[in-house]
Amino acid sequence: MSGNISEFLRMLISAFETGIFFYAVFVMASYLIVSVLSVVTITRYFRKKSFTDTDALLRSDIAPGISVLAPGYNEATTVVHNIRSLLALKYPNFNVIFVNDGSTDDTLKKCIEAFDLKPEYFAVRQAVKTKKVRGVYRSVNRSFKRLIVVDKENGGKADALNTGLNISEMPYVTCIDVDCIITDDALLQMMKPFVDEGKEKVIASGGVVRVANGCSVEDGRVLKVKAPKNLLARFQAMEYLRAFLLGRVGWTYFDGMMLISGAMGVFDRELALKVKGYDARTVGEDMEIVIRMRKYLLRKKKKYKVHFVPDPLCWTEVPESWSSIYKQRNRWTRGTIETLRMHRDMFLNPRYKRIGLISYPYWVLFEWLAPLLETFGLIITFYLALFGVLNVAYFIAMIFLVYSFAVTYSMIALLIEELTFYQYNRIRDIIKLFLAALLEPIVYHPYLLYCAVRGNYDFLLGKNNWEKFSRKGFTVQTRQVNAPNYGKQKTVAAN
Amino acid sequence: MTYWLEYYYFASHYPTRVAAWLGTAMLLASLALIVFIFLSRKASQRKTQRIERLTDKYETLLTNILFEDTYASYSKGYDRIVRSITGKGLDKLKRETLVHTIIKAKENMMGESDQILTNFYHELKLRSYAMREMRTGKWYDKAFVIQELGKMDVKEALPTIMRYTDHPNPTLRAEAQYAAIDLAGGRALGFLDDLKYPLSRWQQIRITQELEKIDPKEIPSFYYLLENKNESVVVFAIELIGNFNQFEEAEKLLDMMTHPSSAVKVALADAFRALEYEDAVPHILANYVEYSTEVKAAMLAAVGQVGNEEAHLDFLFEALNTKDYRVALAAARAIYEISFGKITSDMLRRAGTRALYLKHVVDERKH
Repeated sequence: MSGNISEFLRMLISAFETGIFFYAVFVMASYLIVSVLSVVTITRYFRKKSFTDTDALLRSDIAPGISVLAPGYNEATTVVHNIRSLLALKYPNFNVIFVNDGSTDDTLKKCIEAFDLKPEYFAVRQAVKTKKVRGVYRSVNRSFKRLIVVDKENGGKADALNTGLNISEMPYVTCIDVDCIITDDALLQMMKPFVDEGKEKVIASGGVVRVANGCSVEDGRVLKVKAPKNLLARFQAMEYLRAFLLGRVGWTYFDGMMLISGAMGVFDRELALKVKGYDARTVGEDMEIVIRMRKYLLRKKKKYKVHFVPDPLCWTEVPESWSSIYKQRNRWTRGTIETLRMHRDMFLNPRYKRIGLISYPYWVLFEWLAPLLETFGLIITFYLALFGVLNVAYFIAMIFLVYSFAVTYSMIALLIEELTFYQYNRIRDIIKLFLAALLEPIVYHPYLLYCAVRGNYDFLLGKNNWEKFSRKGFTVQTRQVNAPNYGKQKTVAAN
Repeated sequence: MTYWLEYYYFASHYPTRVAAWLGTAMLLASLALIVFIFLSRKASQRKTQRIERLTDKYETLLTNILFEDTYASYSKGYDRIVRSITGKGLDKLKRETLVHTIIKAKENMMGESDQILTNFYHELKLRSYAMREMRTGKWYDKAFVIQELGKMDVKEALPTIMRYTDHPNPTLRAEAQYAAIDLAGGRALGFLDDLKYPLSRWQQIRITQELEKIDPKEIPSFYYLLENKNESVVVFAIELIGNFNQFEEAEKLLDMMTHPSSAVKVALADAFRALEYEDAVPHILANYVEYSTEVKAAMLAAVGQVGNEEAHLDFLFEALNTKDYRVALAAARAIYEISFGKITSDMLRRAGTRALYLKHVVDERKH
């Protein structure tokens, strides 16, 4: 009897080992395939880009209009400088809609004083239901004619973005985080896929988000790109390179991208309104709206495309403390689960073509379940070790394989960055990032696993708050934009 | 240690062995990649420095040719420069840098100086390489030399370039279209007749900019394109009619009012505004109820601009009372336009619950 049980246990352990092996190989193969697709896509992009003169678009008076939607909550310290840097963007036909989402500090007052704003009559469209709009302000100073400030009751980021969608009259909108640094030609680059569309309608375009920690920032611009000094930020710099240059670019190859970062994305406004805008029920509203727009068009059997611009156009400050990372990743995990759950009908559903058959299952397996499976595997391994039945040699070999792959994958991302955008032009930065890539699987990755597991747990508990993490913030001086002369502009002291 | 290595790589059970070998291969690959990054950085730095040196050299040569008597095109110095460049032969990098430098210089030159640079290009026999590359190169090389041949006014390349104006590759196709206009002006627009592929907004912008550079007398009438099967060509033709104020056959536009495409109708509305074509208004009113929201908004804008207050104000107030936000706002803007910005208290009363739309427009027009 005991012989049978031990035989059964041995079989079970053997099955576990084989399962782990094939799962790891499958994951690695998938990542490698995506990185190969990314290389092909970036090569094509660069070849095409060499013939792109964005100045032609800048000079054109028939360039399609775009609204820059910037939601803000209690941003009194930086709001004026953030808006000024948005107003200094280069594009012939755009406006900036800043939505004050019921701030309890003097965000609105600062805006009114700095930009000579006056409340105006405004017939607000209610294409998407939002919290009450208290007022719409425009400047009496013609230098700020591109600016619209909307004051509304607090309703969260998605609600504020929906208000912006309602207010805008431009055919395209871009939703950006006001605390990011956007390069001045970002709109020109992001709009290129839309003006270049052929038979397939371009419905959205995503942009790369890069890590600004450690970089020299002046006049609202990133002047010199450097690897972050803080190790945690450096891990994230590597992580962002992998996620954007390998992940998202690779998915663009077969138009399978499901997520456009909330920090930088352009959307077809009418389509966004048709699908009823951002969903305020999820903290992953940026991913959710892309899926809903795709679903809508797939159901209507219309041809469309989601583009991705790999140029470094948006720079963000990543958290430098473990607790801030925890809040951010916990929210990302909850957002992913909520979105996947909302659209579970897409899972392996041929009606949704490659999104239903490839992208959605990939997200379920790799973005949601992978951390859980990894944790489960570690727990089982711990128990096997505890009972003295762990195949130590195999365990070490697998850890070695996964570690080597993680480092190699980071190096591929670094190589692509080097051969294409060449942002880190000091050798020491490359060495720092290489060392970060060596350490990351041991130090940073286990913590991300923990955050993801806690995110799952919090999701089960029904937690759905945003929990904004603290940022050091770009100083007012660094955000002081070398903007055109704004005439009688008032200066507002930053607190 | 040796025992362990031997065990892992040769004696362990199959998955362990595979993991060990794969892991080692990956680790070596990552080390190779970092070394490659450093080497490629060195190589690219060397290449950049060489390009900078060459650009400096060629810029100096061009400045001499253009502004120094000793090197002017009739002098021996000029011949020496031509011989020094053609004699040694040009590798791909030198050739590309030289062509780039000449094109860049040409962008800022007109008249005689521009001609000197074109002649210099021809005397260096750079076009023979370009012509060969256009037939045999990869698509991006072809696109580059097509751009070059267009800028350098190589007329003999026109027939070949015209063949690429409807090429399946969008970049190559677009570059061929721009180059054709560079070489033959408005006459080159013949490619629009049989264009199979849609003309993107980007191409429309670029072609319009190219057309704006040429003598207005050379701009052909675009009315013949209105019956084209390619919808994007029809839209573009209507936009060009408005842009270049081709009023002569404006009545032909009226036949397009019932075109099935919304994009065509929106373009028509814009053209009516550009041409200030008042006769279009009765046709707009006759077809108005059939239009989509987008077309209604565009047509209302046209009525506001080319209509007259007495005849069309009632229609606009009717449109103001529709439930559709975009249509109502467009109607409010049209009322503002047609009444020359004089929104009276009577008008606000007449607008009733829609008075806010009129106030919105009045406030908006302050900016």
